[in-house]
Amino acid sequence: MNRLIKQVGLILLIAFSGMMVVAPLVFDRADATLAYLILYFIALASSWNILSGFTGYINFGHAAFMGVGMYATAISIADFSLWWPVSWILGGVFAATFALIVGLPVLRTKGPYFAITMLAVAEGTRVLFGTRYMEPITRAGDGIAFSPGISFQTKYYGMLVTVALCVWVSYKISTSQFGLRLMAIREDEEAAESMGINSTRLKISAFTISAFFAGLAGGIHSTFLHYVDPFHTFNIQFTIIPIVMAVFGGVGTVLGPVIGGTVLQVLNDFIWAHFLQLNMAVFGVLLAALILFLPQGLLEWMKEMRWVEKTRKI
Amino acid sequence: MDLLPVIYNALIVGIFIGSLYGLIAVGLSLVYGVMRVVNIAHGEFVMLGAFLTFFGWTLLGINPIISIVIALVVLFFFGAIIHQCLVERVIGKPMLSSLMLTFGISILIWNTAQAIFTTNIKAVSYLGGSVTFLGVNISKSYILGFGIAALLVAALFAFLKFTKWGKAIRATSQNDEVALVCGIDTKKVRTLAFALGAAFAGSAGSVISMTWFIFPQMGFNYLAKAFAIIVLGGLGSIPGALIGSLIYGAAESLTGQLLEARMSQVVPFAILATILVVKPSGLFGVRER
Amino acid sequence: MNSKKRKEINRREFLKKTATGAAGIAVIGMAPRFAWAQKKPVKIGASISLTGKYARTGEEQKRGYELWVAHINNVGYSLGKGHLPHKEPGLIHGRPVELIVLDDRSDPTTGVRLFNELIYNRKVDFLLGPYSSSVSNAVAPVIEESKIPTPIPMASSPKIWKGKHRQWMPQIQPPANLRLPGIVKMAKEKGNKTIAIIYSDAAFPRAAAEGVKERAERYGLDIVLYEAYPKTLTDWIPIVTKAKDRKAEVLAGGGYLPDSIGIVKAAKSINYVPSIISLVVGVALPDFKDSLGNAVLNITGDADWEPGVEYPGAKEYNDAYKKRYGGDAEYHSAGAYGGAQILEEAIKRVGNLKERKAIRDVMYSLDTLTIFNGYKVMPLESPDSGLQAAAKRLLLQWQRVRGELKKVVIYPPDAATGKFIYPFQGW
Repeated sequence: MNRLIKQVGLILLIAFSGMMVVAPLVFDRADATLAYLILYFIALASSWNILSGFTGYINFGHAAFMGVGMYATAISIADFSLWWPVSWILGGVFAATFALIVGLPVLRTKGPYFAITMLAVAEGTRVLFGTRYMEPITRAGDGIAFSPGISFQTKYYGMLVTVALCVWVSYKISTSQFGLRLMAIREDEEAAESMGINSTRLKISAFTISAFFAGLAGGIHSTFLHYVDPFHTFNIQFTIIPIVMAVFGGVGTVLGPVIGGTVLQVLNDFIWAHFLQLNMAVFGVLLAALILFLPQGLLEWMKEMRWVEKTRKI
Repeated sequence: MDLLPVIYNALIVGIFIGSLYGLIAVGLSLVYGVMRVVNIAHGEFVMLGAFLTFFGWTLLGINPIISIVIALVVLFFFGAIIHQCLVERVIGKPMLSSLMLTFGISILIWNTAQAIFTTNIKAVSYLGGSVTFLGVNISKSYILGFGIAALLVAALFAFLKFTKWGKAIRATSQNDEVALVCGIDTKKVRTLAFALGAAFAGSAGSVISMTWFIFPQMGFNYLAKAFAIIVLGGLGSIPGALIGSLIYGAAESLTGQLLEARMSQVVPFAILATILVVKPSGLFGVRER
Repeated sequence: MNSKKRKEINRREFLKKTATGAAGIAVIGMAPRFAWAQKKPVKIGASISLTGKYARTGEEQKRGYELWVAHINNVGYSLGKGHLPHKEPGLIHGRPVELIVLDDRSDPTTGVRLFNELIYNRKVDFLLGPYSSSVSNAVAPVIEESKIPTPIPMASSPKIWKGKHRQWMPQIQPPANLRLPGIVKMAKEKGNKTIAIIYSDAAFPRAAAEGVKERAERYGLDIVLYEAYPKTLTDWIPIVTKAKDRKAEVLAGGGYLPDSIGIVKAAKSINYVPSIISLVVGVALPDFKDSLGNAVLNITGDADWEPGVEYPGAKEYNDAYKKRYGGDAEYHSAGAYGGAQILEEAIKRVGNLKERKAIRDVMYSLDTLTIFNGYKVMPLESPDSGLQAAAKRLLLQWQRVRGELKKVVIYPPDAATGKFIYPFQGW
């Protein structure tokens, strides 16, 4: 029985991947856009998971990395006319650098202090990008509207590659010593440190990797939107929704964010069409129900039921 | 343009505004202290208090100052219900659970409010004028906010120090397992604390409806400030929340006057970050038990 | 696997269409039902701010569009455009207009998503522009890419057009830097020396502030305060206090409707009485008086249109608006109606719905009047193509006329219906 379920699971995974690969060629633009958004949120959820899932440090400021990446890409195209792949990568690089600078002091705090501080960092960055002093660079409230001149397919595949990379990195982490050490931090940081693990260095590494992918995804998305401004780019929605997706799928797992991202984005689209006014409220109810009845997430629950192999690999 | 009067002015006004923030932050800190839950829906209690006052004023002609008391009572019971039905279930679970649960509750409340009340911005035109206090021209509604905050916080202190339930709350905050063993019904204590937090937030919302604009998503703005304040003051510490809120209000006001309005939103975060780096558990925070 | 996905897609599409069809049905329901069964409707899509900060004014814009649709479908042409060909009911060839309105929640990124939805999923034939410069700015690249000629009625920030070679979206509203016309000149004439300009950190208020600043410099007024406030601000007391501390004799600027109400409230609560208060957007709306009551006396502001202006069909428009919605119309709905009229004129002159390029060419070359204002945009070859060049603005003041609080036009002189009352007396 379990073997059958595992085979079905594998087939589903392959079919899903295949579908995502051919989406822009087979579906019409609206549905391909949905597929694109699924990928985008998987990227955000998966990158969030790299720090928060493995180390247990709940990052409530993930939108900051995404936002920094979006601005870096937008400015590099609007002001410097850089070639789009370079701009995208720049998004990731700027976000990672930002994480490095912020992480050094902030990762010294723990638990709820860390979560709230990161929220403050995200909010502070949003506001900072709108001030007079940053205005020459960011155009503050005006926002930056730009035309990168990239086709939809390019953006789609860019995002697909980003997701594949991020998931692959998650997989690599989960099966490596690096990952084991991160998870040791999650279980008991003091004990881990007393065993000789340099938790600060590990946390910063995970933080930076997490930020890179968020920035890269953000950069690509900014070219999709053709527009950035402080208020929307750093919106808390982009922190919360990926977290919910990761929680739904299973925090700390490799495929959890992928499952969560797909299921919830499709659901969100359905809700948006059906319950326009109460779109977010339904989401809220879902989240509450999730926490009350399935807090470990779908994947972990499946692992407990032995429907899925109980391994760190997924 | 003389700098000193401007600074003095900004400082005084900042302290008044800070006291209103403090009313919100104290509730948040109380809840964390008693049950180690960071209530993301706290901002929504503020919003509900504000709308309660607004509708009381426009539909029933209820004097907004009386509405402060109404908000206190209504939000007390609303908070108690939310706690009993939902929040109590994640007590003792990992932090992510309570964070996510309260976040879900938060979304549910403001989105429903939006659907019912519509998003058009509203205000209560009540206390319009100003008075001169300590040489500074201050809006009457700020004075009211300060007065209410001072009153309620003083009442809270008295409650915590002198009454049976107050002492139970303090005991549970210090060590809930021992409190349980001593015969304290910690579940009731938690419900009480959560309800009190909601009530305070609701009354702050009531004052805010007279001072500023109200709209269904306003909660988040105050939540963010309250977070910064309680982390600054130290999670779980009520004196910390008070001092933190005054510092925060003053910082916000000073940067607004000396730099520019948009910067006034940044500097408090900067202060928060700095203090955390220097003292990672906040000004008066205690190490996790 | 593919067929399963296709079924899923069809179901989703069906549900989507059903759900938001409700909105469309309410609009279509206004058209007489008999002749329409045969004629395929012309789908015109619009993403409007129905919720969020711009909700109140977005609603007015929606009304303007709906009135236009009603006139087209019932009569065959809009007010003042009876001289154009294709006069039978419907847009052309008897085809009725189906208006599809989606709510962008006053949010640029939602607007982008919705425009994509309208263009690629609903496959609309034409588009009508959104409310606010912020949203228009964000969707501009999407419109340009889709090559659907789209009038933009309610975006005044010139930055959307200046140097951007917009080929598919003409501006209907007068550019923002022309806001608050005449106020600086009149302030100078009355002997004022200092001015404070505060503005919301969003696209059009920034452009408006720049315009006022430029004029203040030109007339030699001392700008004692030039500051942006966050667009999410709900407490204007600190920034208005700054203006008061610096002894600004003129207070100008603002943002959207809530801002003008908030600024007046703030000034009142700290007892700041400048000689002139002049704010954008809010002052022209009835909500301003409803919220503030007598506090609005002698406050000035601007509008692109007022009931009583002399454009062809303007008076009839106000009557039609009153009949359908009660109360006088204001400039947001008039602008929407006027913008739709430009689309109408271009389509009727070309006579073929499929020739989008020709329709676009006509839109960019028209030199005409709508019920709203004059219309002429920078031509296609210009780097500022699409920027509005002919529309004018009015300066208003709330005055007590025969015991009632009314809006009086005080500038420009040839449109004025009253004299400028100076100075502002306070409360």
